[in-house]
Amino acid sequence: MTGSSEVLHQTPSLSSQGALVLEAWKALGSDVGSSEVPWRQDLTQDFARGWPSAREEAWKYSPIAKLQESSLRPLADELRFELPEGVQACRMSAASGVVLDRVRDLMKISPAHRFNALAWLSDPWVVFVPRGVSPQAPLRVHAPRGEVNAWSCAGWLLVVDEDARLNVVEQYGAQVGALSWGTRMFLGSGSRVEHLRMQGAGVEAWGFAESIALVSENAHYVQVQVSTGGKMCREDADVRLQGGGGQAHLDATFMARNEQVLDHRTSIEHEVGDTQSHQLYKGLLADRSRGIFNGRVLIRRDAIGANAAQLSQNLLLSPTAEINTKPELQIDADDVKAAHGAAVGQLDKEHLFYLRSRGISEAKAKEVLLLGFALEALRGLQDAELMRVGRAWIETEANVLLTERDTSLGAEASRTSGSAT
Amino acid sequence: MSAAAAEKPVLLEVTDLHVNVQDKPVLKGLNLVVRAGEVHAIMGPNGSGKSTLSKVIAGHPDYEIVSGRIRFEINFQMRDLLELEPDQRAKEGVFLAFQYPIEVPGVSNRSFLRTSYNAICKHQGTEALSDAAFDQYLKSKMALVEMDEKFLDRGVNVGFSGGEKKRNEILQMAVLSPRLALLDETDSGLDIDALRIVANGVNKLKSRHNAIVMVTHYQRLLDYITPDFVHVLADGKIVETGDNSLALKLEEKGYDWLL
Repeated sequence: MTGSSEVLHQTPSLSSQGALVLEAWKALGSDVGSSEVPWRQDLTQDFARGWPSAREEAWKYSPIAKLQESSLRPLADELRFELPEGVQACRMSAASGVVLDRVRDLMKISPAHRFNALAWLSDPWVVFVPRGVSPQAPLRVHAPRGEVNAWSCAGWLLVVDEDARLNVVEQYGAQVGALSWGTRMFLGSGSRVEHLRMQGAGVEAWGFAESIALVSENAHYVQVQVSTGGKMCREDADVRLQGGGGQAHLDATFMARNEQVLDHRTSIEHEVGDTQSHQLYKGLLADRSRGIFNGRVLIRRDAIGANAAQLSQNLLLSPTAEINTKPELQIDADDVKAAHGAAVGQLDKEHLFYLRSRGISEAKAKEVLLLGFALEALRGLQDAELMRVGRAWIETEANVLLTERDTSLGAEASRTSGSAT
Repeated sequence: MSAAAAEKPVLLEVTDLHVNVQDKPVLKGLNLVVRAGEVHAIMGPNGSGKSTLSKVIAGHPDYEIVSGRIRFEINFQMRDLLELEPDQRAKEGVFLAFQYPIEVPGVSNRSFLRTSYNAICKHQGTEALSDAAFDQYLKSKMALVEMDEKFLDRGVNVGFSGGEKKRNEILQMAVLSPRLALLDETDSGLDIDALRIVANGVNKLKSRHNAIVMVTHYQRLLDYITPDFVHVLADGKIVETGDNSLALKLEEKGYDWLL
């Protein structure tokens, strides 16, 4: 990485990819009223300044220099919904009244970086769950699948009114090219959203996804992120606890292989007291893949009695796999609870022995342990359908991780005591 | 006892066993014969090698067998147990109840028990049970250790109290019905109620076809499960063997008179 930093730091000149993005941003961005998207101007400037440098903390571990060499044409793309009963949808430009107010609150927030901003190139869909509505079936959201030489861009908004409940299954990831994908939601007081996000991009595809959730008083937001695809995919999750009694679970499993890079950034802000956040990020990394977890927790000055817990657990399945995990706790209030921890390791040989002592073969024991490790991320889900879908996805991917390679993990533990001398 | 005992088939035979842990000798010439239908208690001061013995028999990878042998009856023949992987030993009927049962997050107790049971069934040539039939079977076993069904859908041992973990070990033993059960300090960390439940479970699982080897530091467990033999393990060897009265003597006099 050091060898190339000089090249990356030369005076910014607009690469062809940068020019394509800027051009598209200028052309398509004009669709969206500037009152709803106040940060648009800043981003135009960002793009005009050139490609982000790998020396920036935000891109330290991601090979975006390679993306700069591509020439993907930004495309304001369409997503597809399966709306459950009682749930409404309209374009942002058609939103009005209280829904529009919430949309404005959501769109005020600047994206974490310019590639996420692309998700908001055109007039996004807004889904609205009226007060007290609680559909049985989940809302299913299918992102665009990508096109050759295209950078697909799409985003959507969700406004959940007071005491409503919604379960969301989002499936995204370009099969080819790149995808910028945006999901922003507002949870009214007393509402509950369970949000399963499954990122399954193609092996050569790039992905940039943001999710933002504003959580009101006594509302409960559960996000489960499952990331498995892509050449390089980055996720930025941003949760703001804005009302007392608000809670968030932000859990994830990411599984990488070959030379994949899966980059996860989370930010949880406890804006007021009596709020809770729980985070469990689980990484499974094989071959020469790399995982990144950067978890920021901010407890604001007045957030007395806030409670934040963060845990990053990672299994390295090969000696050449890498994980960079970094908690960032900023606590400005007294009388709060904040805990964080990070662990990196291989399958525990005591665990393996325990399973083997129950007649389970070594290969099966590894499978059981890996799967168990990955499935823990589903702990916050109550909805049986989300649980089923998430579980099936994880099982399939864990199988790929195990069967495509002869895992060297736990080789130590396979030595038996039978070696009499 | 000897005439009747001699007719019972030998299940386990440990001969002049020397074992090192990190190059340090822990077992130094241990001999032990266990026959079907017997209950043995292995007692001894801390650090005498009690836990090492049970782990070595189960096949824990951290121990180096320097010399000696462990043979186990498989299909009416004494076979070298050290040649078998830990899971193969379990499939042949060896079971270790752990002193410190391992927590396995993300794997439900139910699916763990089923995977384990089916692996052993497959090896023994019997048909695996359907999920419903297994649940039924499991229910009957849970009654033995007075365990609530809610423990089945939790992660293995995750969030269990010390006593619940030990009960879970005995539940696994009940489900797998081993021919040789090694109970490693199963009584440690148990209150008197939990001890009674665990001991009751073990007593109900006792038969003339299986054997139980209890490794324990205290005489307490032996009030509930009466051993046929009590062995004192000291400095890597069995230095004294007797019947249950030996345990009472140890309780009264300690170990010093033997060392």
